Amino acid sequence: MFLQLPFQFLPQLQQTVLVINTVLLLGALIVVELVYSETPKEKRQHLKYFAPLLLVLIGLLIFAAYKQVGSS
Amino acid sequence: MKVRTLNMKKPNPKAYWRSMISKVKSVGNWLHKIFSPIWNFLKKLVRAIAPAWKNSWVMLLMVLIMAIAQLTLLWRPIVGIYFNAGALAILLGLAVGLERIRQLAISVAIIPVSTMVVLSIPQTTTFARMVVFYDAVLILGLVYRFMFTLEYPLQNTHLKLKEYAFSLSLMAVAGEILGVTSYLMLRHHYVFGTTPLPMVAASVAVFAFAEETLFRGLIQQRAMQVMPPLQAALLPTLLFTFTSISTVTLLAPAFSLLLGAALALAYYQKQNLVLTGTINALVKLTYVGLMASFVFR
Repeated sequence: MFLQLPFQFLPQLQQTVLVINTVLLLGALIVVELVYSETPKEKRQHLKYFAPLLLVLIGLLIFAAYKQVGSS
Repeated sequence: MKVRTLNMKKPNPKAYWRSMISKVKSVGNWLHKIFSPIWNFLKKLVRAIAPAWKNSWVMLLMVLIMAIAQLTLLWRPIVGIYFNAGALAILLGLAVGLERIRQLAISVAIIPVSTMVVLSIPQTTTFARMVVFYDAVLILGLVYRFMFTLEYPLQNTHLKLKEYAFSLSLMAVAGEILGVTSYLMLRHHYVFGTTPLPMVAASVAVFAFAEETLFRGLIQQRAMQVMPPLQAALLPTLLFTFTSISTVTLLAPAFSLLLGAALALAYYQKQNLVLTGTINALVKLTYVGLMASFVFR
């Protein structure tokens, strides 16, 4: 009935997710660069659809950096 | 002494291969005669049912990858995280490569992204974790609904005041019945622990709105643009079921399947989020209300 994350939280999970998030973000930015930089401007109007998801991933990257600075 | 020689024919490889080829051809003709009507029948059958299964592979693939991600999270979270990220990468890949399912793939991708958000911002209680999860779903869902429906206002979702009066009361009854069913199935598996009941009651209404925004307002609506109605209704229902899996009980995903099917049917009939949101919110509020009345007294 409710959306669930079916496990208990561990700090190790948080570290792993933040690293994976960085890898995904870099992959997404490389795809954007390779696929869309050669596409004419009028054909890449839909690029805006990916913006909110990328913003969330960038937000998590900033959070990961903040955590690193805070712990050092 | 005369040596008696056998009058043996010299083997002729050409003749041998010719005879072999003719035999294979005759077997081939025989098989063709038998199987060609069956093959033609199958081709006609596929052509006949193809429109009903248009883009259904998309539905199956999305359900499969999300199910694998969720089940591996349940089995071993540290492995499940990688599958969750893989699911996100596949969905974004589909969105980049296939224009016709781009909006649908992006809508489904909200689930793994929200999972990553919750895992990055840890919370101490289940309730707090669910609040963060639903907040991420709601914010991304609202942003994408706004972006996808900017170009064309959906006139067929508009109801008059009289229709609202009739439909809302009907949906309220359906919500109450499903809420009582959820209480009967899940009264021993309350997930919010010691969180104050007024706070839970206020939150579950928002949870219902977030679920409807994502599953019906985005996923089912986008799926109805690219696949037949049955598959379009199956997709959010199965995704809703798999994202409700918990370590505590199998009754939770079973009830989610029932609720998801009812909501998908209601959305298919009216395509109005107010109506499906009413059912969902009343189911959750009835469940919490009955728990407060009979279990936490």
